[in-house]
Amino acid sequence: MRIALYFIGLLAAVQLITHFVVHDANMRIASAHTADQLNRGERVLRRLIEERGASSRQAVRILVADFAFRKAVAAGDPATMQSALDNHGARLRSDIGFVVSDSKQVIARFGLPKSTSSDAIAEVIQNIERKEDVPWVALIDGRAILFAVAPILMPDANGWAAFGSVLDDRVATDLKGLTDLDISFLATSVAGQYQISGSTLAPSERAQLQTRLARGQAPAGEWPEIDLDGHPYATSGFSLDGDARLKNAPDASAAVLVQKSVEQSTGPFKHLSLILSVVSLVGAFAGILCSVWIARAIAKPIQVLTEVTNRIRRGEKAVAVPMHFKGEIGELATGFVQMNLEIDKREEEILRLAFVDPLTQLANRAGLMQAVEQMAVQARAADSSWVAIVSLDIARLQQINDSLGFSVGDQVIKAVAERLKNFSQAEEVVARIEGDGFAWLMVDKQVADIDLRLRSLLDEFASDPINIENHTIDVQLHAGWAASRATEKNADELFRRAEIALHVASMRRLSPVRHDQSMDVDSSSQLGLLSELRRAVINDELVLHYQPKLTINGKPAGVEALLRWNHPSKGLIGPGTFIEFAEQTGSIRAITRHAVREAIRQSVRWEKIGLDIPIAVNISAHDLQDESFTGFVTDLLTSARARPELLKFEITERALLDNLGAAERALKQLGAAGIEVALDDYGTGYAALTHLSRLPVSEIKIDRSFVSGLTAGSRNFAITLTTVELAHRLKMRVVAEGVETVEEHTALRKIGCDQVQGFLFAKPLPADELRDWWQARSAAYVTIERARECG
Amino acid sequence: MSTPRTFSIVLGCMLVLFAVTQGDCWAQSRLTITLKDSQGTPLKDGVVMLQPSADITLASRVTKRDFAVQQIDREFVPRITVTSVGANVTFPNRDAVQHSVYSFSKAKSFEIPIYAGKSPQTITLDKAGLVTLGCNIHDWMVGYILIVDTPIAELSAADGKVVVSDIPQGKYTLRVWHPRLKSGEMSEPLTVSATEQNVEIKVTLNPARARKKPVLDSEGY
Repeated sequence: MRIALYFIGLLAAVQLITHFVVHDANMRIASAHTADQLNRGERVLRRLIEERGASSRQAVRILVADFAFRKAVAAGDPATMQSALDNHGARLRSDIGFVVSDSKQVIARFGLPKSTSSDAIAEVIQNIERKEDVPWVALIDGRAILFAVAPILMPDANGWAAFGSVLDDRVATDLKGLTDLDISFLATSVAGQYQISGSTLAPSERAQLQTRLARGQAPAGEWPEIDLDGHPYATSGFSLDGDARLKNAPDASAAVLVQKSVEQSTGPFKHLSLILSVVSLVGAFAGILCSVWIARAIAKPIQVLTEVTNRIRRGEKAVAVPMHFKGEIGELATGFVQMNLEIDKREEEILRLAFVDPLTQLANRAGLMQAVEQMAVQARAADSSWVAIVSLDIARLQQINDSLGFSVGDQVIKAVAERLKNFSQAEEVVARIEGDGFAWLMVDKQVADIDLRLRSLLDEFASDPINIENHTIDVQLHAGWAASRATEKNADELFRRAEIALHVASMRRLSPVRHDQSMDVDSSSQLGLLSELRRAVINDELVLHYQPKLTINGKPAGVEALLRWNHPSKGLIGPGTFIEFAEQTGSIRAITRHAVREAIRQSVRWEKIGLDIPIAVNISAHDLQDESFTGFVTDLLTSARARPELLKFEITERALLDNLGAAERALKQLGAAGIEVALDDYGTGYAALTHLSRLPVSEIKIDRSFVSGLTAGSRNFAITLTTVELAHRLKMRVVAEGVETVEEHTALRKIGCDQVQGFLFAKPLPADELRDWWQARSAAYVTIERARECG
Repeated sequence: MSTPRTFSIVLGCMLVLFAVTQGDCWAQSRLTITLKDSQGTPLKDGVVMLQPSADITLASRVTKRDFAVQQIDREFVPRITVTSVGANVTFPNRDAVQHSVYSFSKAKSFEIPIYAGKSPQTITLDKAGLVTLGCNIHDWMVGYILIVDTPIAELSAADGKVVVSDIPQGKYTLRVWHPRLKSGEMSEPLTVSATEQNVEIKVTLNPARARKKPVLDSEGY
């Protein structure tokens, strides 16, 4: 409807403007026309009045030239004179005539009523001798008379004869017939005012004009418009005495006022305006009809289609256009419907992709979650008691990828997926979560059944290797699971518990593991810890303490950097409480990077004061898997201008074994960069040392469990001795950790251990204290050595 | 020397004596009257008339008796004539065209039908007054005959002067007439006492009337 309103508004505006423009033009034309008419009328009138005067003059001249008349005047014969005057007056159609003697006595007259006194005429004929041959208007009895005067020559001027035409209504009407203008004759009265002698104006208008004139308001200027009895008149005037324009004060004996009724001159235009208005109105009405039609034809379909798009926007499917339209609108409507269908199709595809893992065509994590919710609902409805989520991963898939390539790895994943699928029941869901991780949604009446089924699954994998491209691959699965009553927990919680159980399972190398409460104890505090740990990295709350390593003879050889959490409220926290957690949650990467950055910075600081202290930083399995880690370290070294030989890494035996392929690659890269790597906690992972020989490890650190209580002749002594001998043969350095007693130190010396580390020598120290310790110890060692040399 | 001669001498002596006793009764003066218009320009063609008081006996010096007013080139020639009562006037026509001379004047009214050549009539001017001559055919033609009853009447010359010699001293009435004189004729008393007396008279004139005389072509038409 707005379109219709716009149209109507526009139409109305155009017509209004047209109307005003035309009206204005009309008024200008009328005004110009009136001015022109008055101008021409005035000229015509002058001429007509001149001719009238001329004919009077002619008449009077003929009279005074008549010999008999002159003779009669000379003889002073009134009867003859009068008859001659009457005769000529009638013949020449003069209204008034008289004869004036030499002594200005009226000696004969005609056309004047008897009541007209001689004095009134005497007033008029004063200075009559000057009025010969001039148009001359005099006022007698309120009538303006246009006189012509001629001297009576006998043969000298011995008197005058005058003939006059009364300028009355009749003459005015006569002239109006010729000029189409209203004409008023004005003559100056004795009182010095203009008086109307004849006019074509209506009596009321004439009365008003007379009033104005009496007030001395003769129209002045160029075509002023004056108002007479409510009718406007364009007015002009001229004096009959000469060429002068009519002025306000009557300086002329007589004047003619020419007027044109404005109403009359604008009348035709007013009529035109009326017609135009009617046309406008009809046009506007037609415009309204057209606008409404257009609104129906265009706006209505747009409304309908807008509603359709709104429904599509709200997500309705297969929206139909409720009306049939022709032409372009129809095509547009079809387009909308088509678009809607396409959108639906794509939406389905997107949804499918959102919930499906493209490699295995299993559900992904989102799909699983969705399925768990649905399952829970169904289970509740079916009164099935238990819903379980089993988290699974493929042990050492990375190794398979590294040795056989990713395509084989992918095929392994696919094969595992296939087996899992086969093992699952119809209503259950198997999903691939990420990389080598799977999840299996199980439903069962008995928890024990779930456990049994899992065990048989794992047995199947253990007994039946997967064959891919002529490779027979032993695939081992880790499995952790959590179950709950269908009514209890939500899917996220269940999934989280299963993940924790899986983690425990892979740590313990024992599957399947069911989640129990003990695993969950720290969950909530750990959640808090997680966010706090993140904050700690950002706020630089993690500080490094340094525990010295010494040669077996007591010379300072280096330090191990150990993380301490300078917690704002809990004070200094040791690594035992948060490092394992950080490894589980993956935040260990950020922490390691922080530690490396800090260690390099410290190394540079010490180097500046002349201390070349090798610093060893602990790194985790996650860091080895992080392919950008080596680059990060070398970049850091370069930008800090630190010496790479002063930076060392320590990695646990287990972390190394879990990711042997990635570890080998990472260690080689670090070795190439000039950074040595030590094998930490050696002896806990049961790794054959020879198996490690191909790794670029320059140092092994014997776990404190072997060192503790070490004395000559004990079982650990033999193991340690063998290990040290073997290590030395493999050109590896051996460091003993956790040396706390002099006896242990003595035993280690006997064994031939290269370096020692422990509370016996120094506990982990803050950087400043370590510096002091180092300087003191170095000095002391020099003294001891000298003493020994001397001794 | 005879007795009449003696009588004459005696009479002469008596006259002388009379003259002595009677003052300047017998003294003669020369009077110069100058006519001027209101602008002080000497006025030509004015007629100065002197009417002596009753005690002065003065023979009329207006000598023109029988005369002609001719029409030459459609004008009256002379335009103004001064004459005395009883004079006869003729109007010989010297033009190739005809004229019809008339007068509506009270002093003498007449009308001579159109004619050529010599005057068909002789008009006797038997009353004092002004006769204005006109031609019924040519409206612009105007002529004046002033018929005076005063002993002295003379037209002023181009310098506006009228000189009257040898007039007795005493009281006179001075009258002046001119065709354009505003009051028609003016008169004022004048005492002549000096032997050489100059009088200046200022008169007010009507404006000259335009006379529309057509110019004839070379053949006189």
